[in-house]
Amino acid sequence: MIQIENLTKRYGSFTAVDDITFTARPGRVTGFLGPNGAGKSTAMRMLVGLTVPSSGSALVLGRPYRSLPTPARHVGVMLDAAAQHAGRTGRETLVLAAAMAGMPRHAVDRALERVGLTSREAERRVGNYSLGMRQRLGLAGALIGEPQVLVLDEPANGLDPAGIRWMRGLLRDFADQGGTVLLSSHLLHEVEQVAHDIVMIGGGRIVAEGTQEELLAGHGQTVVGTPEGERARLAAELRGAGHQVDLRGEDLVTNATRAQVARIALTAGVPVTHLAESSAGRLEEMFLQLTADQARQERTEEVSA
Amino acid sequence: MSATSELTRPGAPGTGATAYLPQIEDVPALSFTRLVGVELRKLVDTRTGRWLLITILLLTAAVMAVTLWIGRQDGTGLFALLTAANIPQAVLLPVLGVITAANEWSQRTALVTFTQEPRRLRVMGAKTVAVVLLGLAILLVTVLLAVVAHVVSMTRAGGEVDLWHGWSLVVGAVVLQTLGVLMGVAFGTLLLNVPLGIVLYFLTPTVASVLVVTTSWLREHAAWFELGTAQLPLIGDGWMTGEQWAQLGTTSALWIGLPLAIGCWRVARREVK
Ligand SMILES: Nc1ncnc2c1ncn2[C@@H]1O[C@H](COP(=O)(O)OP(=O)(O)OP(=O)(O)O)[C@@H](O)[C@H]1O
Ligand SMILES: [Mg+2]
Repeated sequence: MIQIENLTKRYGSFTAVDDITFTARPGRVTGFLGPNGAGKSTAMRMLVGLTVPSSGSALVLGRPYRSLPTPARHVGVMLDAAAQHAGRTGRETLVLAAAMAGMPRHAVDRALERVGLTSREAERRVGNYSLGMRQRLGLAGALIGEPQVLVLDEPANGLDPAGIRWMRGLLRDFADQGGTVLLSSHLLHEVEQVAHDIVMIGGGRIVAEGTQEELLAGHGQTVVGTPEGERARLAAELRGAGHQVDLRGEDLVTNATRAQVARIALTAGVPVTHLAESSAGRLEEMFLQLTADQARQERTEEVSA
Repeated sequence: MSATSELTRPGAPGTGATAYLPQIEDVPALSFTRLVGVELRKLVDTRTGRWLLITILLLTAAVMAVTLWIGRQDGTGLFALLTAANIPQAVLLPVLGVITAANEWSQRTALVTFTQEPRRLRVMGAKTVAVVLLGLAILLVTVLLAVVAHVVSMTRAGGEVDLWHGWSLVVGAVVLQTLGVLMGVAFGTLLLNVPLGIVLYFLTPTVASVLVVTTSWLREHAAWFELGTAQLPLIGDGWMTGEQWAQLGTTSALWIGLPLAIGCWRVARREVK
């Protein structure tokens, strides 16, 4: 169980995390989703006591993380798989982690096995590891204490498709056995595949929150493709018929049904290149919007700089 | 999220699934001894650490060999052997102190270590104890080597074996070694950067000595705040006076206590990322 309440972090006048509140429950994978710079890592660092919050609180298993007597035994944390000593072997890294978690030596072999690192690979220096192997090692370090809570920052980074699927299975199993998982990602697709609950953050603030079904449900929209020159005319016709129309990329998005759009287009003589029910839910739209806002903001900053 | 929706979800926990999980109260706290053990291990489990230790031991042996060769006619005294052995150790062991204290910040492993043990000053304490213990272990090996070398050299030269003369130096060396390592730790903690820590560890006392030498008031009272002056009696051929111990105390407070205190304050507050 992770409870975050009104957590805020300010760096000078910049607010990186702005008054966020959510709970990650046992038996469920909670996806912490947001574009780059949204404040995910900062929030996770505050959760495990690496960054002091400006205000608010974060509890793990009902206590502040810092007051857990042997935190690594209860909470597995991986914030950055690159934060390993390049000169140590994978096994040595885990031997140290096992000691810090108060676990016996054979926990090392179990952890290696769990993340699929062979003992040959474990004898190599971390400096020679591939990105994916480092990610697996980091995860092994988090799992070594057989914790009941996992906090993982972008765990799928650097994994190949097979690796991502494997990770998904591992996290689902972990939750199925009653564990709590909080993982962050900047890819909606990735979170969609594994999370039961989703907390979406943008610009430091929570913008959407709920179960995956709630957030990903489509809401009866139709996507229409037309040649560029005809787009405005079709939009006008649709609006004239009392429907809402938005522009998304090259496409029109409307709340009219496919049949209604087809009829209107036919009457108006507008060619239609494709016509489909929108699969995207509210979440995807919000996420795209957030990412676009972010990109726009960065462009403006670049121009003004 | 209602209870019913939770039960129908694929990840819903089975009955009693949490039973195998340890209760927080049932897990003993991470002991300081274990922390020290981990830190000792970190000192020797990387190539850099291992080579630094091997270098220290090889240099010690080499310096002793030279001393033995110089005294081959009349035999070499324990005192001469220990003084010689102290030279490479006094230079290199503090470097080990700097590395221990600062390396995790350079290697970014601080992110992992301070997650595993969020009480950061406990970690710093364990690092300090570990590296001091290692320094003293090296000193022990050195003293044993020196005794053997002395006995062999006297037997061959037909001189008198004197194991007593030189023991004041051993006491001095224990204190000196500890202070040297502690000062390394203090500079490492203050700067949290290995190369910078090493450079300033060597540079600052030298600059201070120059200042002392060029200022007459400072020169007169040098023993109270200048390292070299205060530590000199430790490797002298006799026991130190009360005033000399007091001077050692003030210089240590200035050169070890102060940077260590500021460093600990930094470590406790610094954002780890
Ligand atoms: N020490 C700091 N001083 C000033 N700003 C900071 C500091 N640390 C982080 N930030 C800012 O806080 C914001 C949130 O950063 P954070 O790393 O939490 O984002 P994120 O959601 O993890 O992004 P990503 O997906 O790229 O990892 C960013 O705009 C970052 O520049
Ligand atoms: Mg991040």
